[in-house]
Amino acid sequence: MGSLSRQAFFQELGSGCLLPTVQQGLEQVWQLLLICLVCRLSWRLGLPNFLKHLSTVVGGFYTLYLFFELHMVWVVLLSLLCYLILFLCRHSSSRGPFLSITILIYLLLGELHMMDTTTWHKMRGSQMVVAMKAVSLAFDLDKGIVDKVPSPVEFMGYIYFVGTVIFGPWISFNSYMDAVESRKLSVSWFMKSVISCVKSQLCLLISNCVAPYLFPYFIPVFGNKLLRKWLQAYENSLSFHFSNYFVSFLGETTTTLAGAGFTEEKDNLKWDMTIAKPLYVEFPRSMVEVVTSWNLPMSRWLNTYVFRKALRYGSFTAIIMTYTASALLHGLSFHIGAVLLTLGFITYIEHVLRKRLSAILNACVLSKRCPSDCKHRHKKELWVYLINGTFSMLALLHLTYLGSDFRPQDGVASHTIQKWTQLSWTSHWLTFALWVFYRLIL
Amino acid sequence: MVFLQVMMLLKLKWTSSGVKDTPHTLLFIIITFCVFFMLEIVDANSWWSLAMNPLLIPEVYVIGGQPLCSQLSGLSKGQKKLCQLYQDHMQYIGEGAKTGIRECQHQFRHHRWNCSTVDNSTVLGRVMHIGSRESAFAFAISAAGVLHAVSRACREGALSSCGCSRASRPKDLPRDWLWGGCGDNLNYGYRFSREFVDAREREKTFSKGSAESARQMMNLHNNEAGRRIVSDLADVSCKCHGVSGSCSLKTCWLQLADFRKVGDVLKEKYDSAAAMRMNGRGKLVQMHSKFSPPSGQDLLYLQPSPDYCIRNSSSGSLGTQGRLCNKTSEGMDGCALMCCGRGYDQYKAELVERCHCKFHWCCYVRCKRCSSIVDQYVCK
Repeated sequence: MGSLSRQAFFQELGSGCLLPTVQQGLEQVWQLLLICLVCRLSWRLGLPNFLKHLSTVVGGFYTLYLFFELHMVWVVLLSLLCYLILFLCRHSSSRGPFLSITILIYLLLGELHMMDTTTWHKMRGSQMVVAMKAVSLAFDLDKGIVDKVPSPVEFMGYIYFVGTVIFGPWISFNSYMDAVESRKLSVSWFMKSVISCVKSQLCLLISNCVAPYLFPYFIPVFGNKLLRKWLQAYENSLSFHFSNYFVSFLGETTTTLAGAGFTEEKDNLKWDMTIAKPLYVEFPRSMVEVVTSWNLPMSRWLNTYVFRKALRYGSFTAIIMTYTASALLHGLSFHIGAVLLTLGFITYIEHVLRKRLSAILNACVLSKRCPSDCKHRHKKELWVYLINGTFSMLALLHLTYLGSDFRPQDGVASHTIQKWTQLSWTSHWLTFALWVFYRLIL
Repeated sequence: MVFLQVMMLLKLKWTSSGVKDTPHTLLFIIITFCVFFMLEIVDANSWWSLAMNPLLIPEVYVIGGQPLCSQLSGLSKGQKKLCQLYQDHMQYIGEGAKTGIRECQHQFRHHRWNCSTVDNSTVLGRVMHIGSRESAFAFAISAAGVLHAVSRACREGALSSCGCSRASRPKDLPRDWLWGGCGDNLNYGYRFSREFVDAREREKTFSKGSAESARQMMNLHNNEAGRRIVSDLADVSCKCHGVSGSCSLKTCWLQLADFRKVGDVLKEKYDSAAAMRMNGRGKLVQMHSKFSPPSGQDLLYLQPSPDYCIRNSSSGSLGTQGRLCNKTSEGMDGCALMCCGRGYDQYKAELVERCHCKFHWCCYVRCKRCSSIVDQYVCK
């Protein structure tokens, strides 16, 4: 019985899901990829920098129009507003905070007043990338990392860089200026683009066609009512994860194809842009590792421009402010805010607890993997592995719990509460228990 | 056939004898009553009894597969054959019936008739033999429940003869959304629900223009209405792909609506159900022709509802005596309407709940028990 069903299912999956997904997936993005490639090639023609910036602005505008049609004006408005603020404050030394507040007001007004939720939700990603670029530029100007306000065409080129305008990721202004110099076409560059593209399509397939039917089709585990709930939560979570990886690898593809995303050390050029590390999320050591591996450029941005500047108020406050900033960048969604805030608490409590355990036990049980030359006495004992393994299992459970309600029609507060109630608020209770344990061993 | 002829003969004779109070007449009355009673018993069981059957768990199939179907008392002959062909479906038919009954009880929780289950075999009792709008609702929501449960079971891989939905891409889906994936298999669930639920009606043949024929048509129509409402409420569901969960790109599939929505829509159909009668050519037509004709999704009924106020074993009404009611409400759940003017008794009930919970360091939570006296109103 079951074998017939599974065989029939896989046949239907192939023709009904795998093939249409790849076909439609490529159909959606081939124009974006083509524009990135054209931009890259045109930059190799030895054009003056002015025209290079202009060409990527044109490409960026066209791409925005492709994806968002006339709603792209909101992204344009945001970028014009940012440049206006930068220009008007060109003699100030507090451009960073001021621009941040301005952007925050713009995003809040947009969220609450200007347009319907669906449209705003669609282009939230692009708005987020623009906001991050502008804020980072402002702070870099304050610190002198960027020595003068860029010209309008340079600024717009940075903001509308065709490689990052739709699917991200954030790159710094200096990285963009490096890219404009236009490195040679090479096999490694081309291979990086192709491999990232293949990976992104693979992740889309997993997100769309494998994760939702993991149990019992791919893994024949049936389970009772309680287990069924957690299995379904894991399926939803996995589907959401691979949707993120799909976008991340797509971002890698477009960025590399457009000529950015490399590191250079003494004439050694590596096309090594990495946005997400799937293995570190699916087989996590800790929630800290998950958080940083989810989106590396975003993590870097939050660390540089939010966390470090908030550290003067204490580490706990800095963490909460970082997660708040992250939530605000994601828009006023109760669901995302709730998830990120919960994630913040989980991460902080796990971090301080493991730090304390590491000190008490003199063992390598920190949230981050110890370097090989650390001074802990116990490194490879069985009980050290057991402790780390337990925290890994906990992280998996937290991920399942937090990712379980990334549903198509999200944004409703009651739905998040309802979903977490179904799972008995397990992660919240566990986090509370760990905090109590931590207070006990202080 | 013979039974029917005998019954007709007895009936005619009884009518012609008038109201004479002779021992002979009394004997006729007794015989008629017995015949009626036996007939009702024979016809009382329903496939809804699958909802009450604890034997329909998958583990039972391991013990003895084949004999199970013959032991299910609620199935008609055709349904028993389908049971043997599709044994793994029976669990989900039971679940569908249960879902339907539970939703019925939710929708009618404040009504005089509240969809109570009478016993495990007839389930909703004799009320279902009256061609009322309550019967119309019950038939529709049960067929809808089966469709819902089977479609979902297909998607979850629980049934051997069906899998993902093969629904083609909707024409009004925006061009830039991806279509694919394993949606709820609405087509299969629809076909199976029609085959199984309607089997009981289709295997009987009644003479044209008879009351039984009218009831048969009513049931078939209402079953279909329930299925169509589930089908119409099914919609596209999408997943977002974009930077941090934004919606730059979407993938979509077909998904059934929550069954509560189905119940809500059917309740509206119940409130606006169309009264029908059999015309001379054996077709159902409206009782009042000034109303617009009913569509395929509307509910039909043939007879006015019985009086649900008083317990009546012949109509199957349980009555509202002993029902809780709301003194301050003017709706159906209010005491005036629920108790049918008979009045209500007022009781003091003690309600105990936890209160003033405090966390004690370290580490337990202690609550006090607070009891309060609340008024409860019960129909006389």
